[in-house]
Amino acid sequence: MPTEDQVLAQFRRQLLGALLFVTVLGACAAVLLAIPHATLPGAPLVAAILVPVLAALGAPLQRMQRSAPALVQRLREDEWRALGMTRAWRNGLVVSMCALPLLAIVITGLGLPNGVAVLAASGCTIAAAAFLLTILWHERG
Amino acid sequence: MGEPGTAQLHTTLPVHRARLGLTQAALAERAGITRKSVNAIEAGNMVPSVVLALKLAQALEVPVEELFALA
Repeated sequence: MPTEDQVLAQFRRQLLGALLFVTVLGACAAVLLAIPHATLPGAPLVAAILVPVLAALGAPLQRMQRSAPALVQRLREDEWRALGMTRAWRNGLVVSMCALPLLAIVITGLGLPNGVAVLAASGCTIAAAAFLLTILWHERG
Repeated sequence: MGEPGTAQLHTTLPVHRARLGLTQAALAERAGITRKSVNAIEAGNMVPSVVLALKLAQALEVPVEELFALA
């Protein structure tokens, strides 16, 4: 029977996995769009590591869900965690609003090809990272 | 009472919890919420919803207005 702290720790691990996934994916997309002829030789290796790690992160929570469904449900509906989500949406929005004009200036200054696509990829990545980091910060300790 | 915009929520949650000899975790278990929520409410970091306030009052066997008041 898992405890509340164990389930919360698993939630945090999943969030860290999601943050890693989003950051790596977003960075790769931005690089490939900014440098069309670039090749990412390490990309298959990163994918080979990342995908099983992410898949493995989901398994313990499913086990916890089976052994203590009420506890997991209680934690999912918790008001403190819901407050963290609200703050995360707000921070994600604020960060994207602040980052997009700055990124636009940098991308224009560098004269990158596919500027709009690079802006979209990098903006989304930064906003998603801010969202996930806020939740992680809110649920720390 | 102060200005409506500056009103703060005051709680006697720790007092009532101590009266029953409950830890934050035990109270959370009783109320069907998490220890973090109890901790956040006691520390003044979170204003609970009406439902949560009523759950806590029920768990501590006190009227909700005894548990929360505007300071």
